[in-house]
Amino acid sequence: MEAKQANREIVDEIVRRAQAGDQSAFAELYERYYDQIFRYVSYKCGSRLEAEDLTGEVFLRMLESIDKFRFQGFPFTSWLYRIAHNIVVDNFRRKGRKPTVPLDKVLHFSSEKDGEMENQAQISWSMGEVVEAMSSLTDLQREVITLRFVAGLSIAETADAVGRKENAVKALQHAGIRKLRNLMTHPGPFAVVTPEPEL
Amino acid sequence: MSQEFSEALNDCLDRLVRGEDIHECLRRYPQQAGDLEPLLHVALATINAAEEVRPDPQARARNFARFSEAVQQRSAAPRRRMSWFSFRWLPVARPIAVGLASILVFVMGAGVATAASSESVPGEPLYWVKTTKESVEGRLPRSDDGRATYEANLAEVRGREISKLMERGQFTRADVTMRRMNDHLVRCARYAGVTVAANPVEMPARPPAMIGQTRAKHLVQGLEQDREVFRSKVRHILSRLSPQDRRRAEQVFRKTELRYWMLIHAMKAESPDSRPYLVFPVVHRGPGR
Repeated sequence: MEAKQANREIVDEIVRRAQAGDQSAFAELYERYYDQIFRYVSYKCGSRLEAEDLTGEVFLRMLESIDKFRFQGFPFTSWLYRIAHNIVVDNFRRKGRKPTVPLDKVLHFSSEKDGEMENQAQISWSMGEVVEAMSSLTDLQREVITLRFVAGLSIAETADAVGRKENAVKALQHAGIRKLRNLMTHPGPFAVVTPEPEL
Repeated sequence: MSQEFSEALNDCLDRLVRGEDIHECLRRYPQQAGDLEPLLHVALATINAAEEVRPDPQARARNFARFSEAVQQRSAAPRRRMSWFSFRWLPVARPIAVGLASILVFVMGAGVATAASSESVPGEPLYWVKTTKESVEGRLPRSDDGRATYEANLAEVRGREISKLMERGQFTRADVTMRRMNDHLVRCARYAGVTVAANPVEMPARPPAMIGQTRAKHLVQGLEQDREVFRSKVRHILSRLSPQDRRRAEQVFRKTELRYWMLIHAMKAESPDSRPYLVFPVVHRGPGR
């Protein structure tokens, strides 16, 4: 908890510097958040190329709007994910398609990652399973699961990003996980193989 | 789902997100481990799958170059000072500005309407604005002295309206307005401490007692002046009217004259003996009756 608070204070300080016009602060924000945002956007749009473009757009939008960000209990991280969410949604709206991720696209961009074919297949396979299973969640459940486990946000940050109370986010998370569990274990080939716990 | 289980699940999920081992998490909650485990594995599978998604370094660098360029452009551009009209204040300032503008428009509109209505006469569209304004002004707190003067002024206004209406040949409206004028004069007398009655047996006039003599003198002077102005206007109008219209106009005029006369004489009277009751022959019979 203390570490989280300390981290937030560090981020707030960087944001203050950025708002004051410090160019290095913008670079720090980019370094700190680019990978997370890219991951989040990738999960939502399912195309590497599109995810790269949209992630770039998120940071440009952040640059345009950073003066509007106010330190009023709302974490910068949540604010940034809201921007990312809006950009992805705008993109879907422009292209006239739903924010669902086709499995083949996920497999495709995962397979581009590195040269270890055997490992890639396994990773792609399980990622494809996750993405496909997530497409059957409700929009809000999917958003919460993505923010929590893909972007790594806390419950509080997720609550701020989706504009819900923490208890609601916990309930959505729980329902989403249960649904994923059912979808991932019962349909057969995509069952998660779990090692025995060493209790 | 019990509260206890929910708390345990959330705690374990937080730990997993932070990179803690799943078995470490389960060891913390041995009672719920059986139910927690499958759910935590799903969460872990999702986390692991997400961690494998990494941006292409070239695309990352390309985006960074674009971002840096935008940052430099932003720094080069003159920074806008935070003014009262800046976006920071917009959420607060906009409704206030709209509210103030509405009030301003309303006040200005009311002012223009009031000014435009000041010379209106009964039957005209803006006349209600004039009477509403008078009604509002009449409710303002004043001394009896002030109220008497105010009513005398309103009587003068009605007098002007009557002369205009007569000029236009609207005698019915002039007659109605004359009654209103009489009401003002009666009220003026009441506030001045004089009871003016058409029938002296029922209610004799009495000398001013409620307002000072000096003030009463001023009031009388004002009334006399108003009466003279009214007289001269009406005489001028009468001279231009046809005989039939003139008869009707004279009726209205004489009634008004009577009220002025009664009030002025009552206020001038210094003792009950000198009270004027000499009104009836003039009042109710116009020429030609």
